[in-house]
Amino acid sequence: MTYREPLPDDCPPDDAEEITAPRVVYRLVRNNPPTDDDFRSQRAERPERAFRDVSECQARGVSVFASLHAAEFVSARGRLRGMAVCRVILNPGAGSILLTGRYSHHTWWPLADYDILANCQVMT
Amino acid sequence: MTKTVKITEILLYYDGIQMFAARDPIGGHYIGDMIDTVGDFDRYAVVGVSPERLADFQAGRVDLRTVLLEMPGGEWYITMPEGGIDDPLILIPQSESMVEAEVLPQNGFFLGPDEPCDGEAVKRALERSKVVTVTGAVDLLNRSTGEWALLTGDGVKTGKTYPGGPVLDGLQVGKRYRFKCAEVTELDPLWRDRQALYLHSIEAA
Repeated sequence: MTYREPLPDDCPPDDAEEITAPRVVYRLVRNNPPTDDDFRSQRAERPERAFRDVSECQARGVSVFASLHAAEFVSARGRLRGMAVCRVILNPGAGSILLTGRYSHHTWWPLADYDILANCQVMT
Repeated sequence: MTKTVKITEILLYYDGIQMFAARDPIGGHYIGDMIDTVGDFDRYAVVGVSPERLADFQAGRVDLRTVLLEMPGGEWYITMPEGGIDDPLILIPQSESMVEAEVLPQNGFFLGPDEPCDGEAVKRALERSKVVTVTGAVDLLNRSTGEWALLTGDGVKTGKTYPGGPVLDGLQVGKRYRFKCAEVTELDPLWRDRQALYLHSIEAA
């Protein structure tokens, strides 16, 4: 499997779930319609930063929420204020995902071949 | 004198730490809330908070704006963590109010409690003799969330209750108890193992 971004060894971690059945997650985006830039990892956004507060594996994944409420909550805060909530369908072949925080926060590692933009829609 | 705190818990994470709880070297509690990003670094507004109020916030009984506006003495700080989560954060006192600085969140940002431990993890820990006895004076009791803290000779030890386990009713702040606890390995939001103490039995000490 080739992931969208280069990942370190042992990433995704063993307890991450390979997506084999459709599911819905929510991602905050700056653009409407969304662009590939809206699905860049923290590492891609800040290539020089030492992410000593986050594992390199998590920094190379994409934050999503399983809960719409949680996504809406976060979209009104701090530097995320004003971002739109995008509903993303993860079909088989979307990659791997793992619950990595409170309030249904997941980290998603998309596969290179997965057409994210064809499977996301900004919520109105 | 420079004031510093260390992050004790990530309260909200999304493409970085959005909100955290922290403590200073003498045990004071703080909440940090991300306000913006400068260059590669995120900036946080930080205020002191009582342990009871922090517990209220974490349990979803009070919103973030209310907690921030209750800052002791009107003091608030800015911090910009340039190191890792284990490095102390340097708090820079601010002279203008949070309202003037336009760093307050809107009304209605409530956190909710995480999924509670279901008791099975405690049972497994007890079967594996993962038992810790903590003796000290009660520093904090939150009967609604089940969170507790004992002041021991080795500092403050914190833990929780679990469904089907003992409850905190009848305990008194300041009084000494011996808590027998199951030590359960959990993952924190950064996938690092952390040992959580779940109260299994209580004796007066």
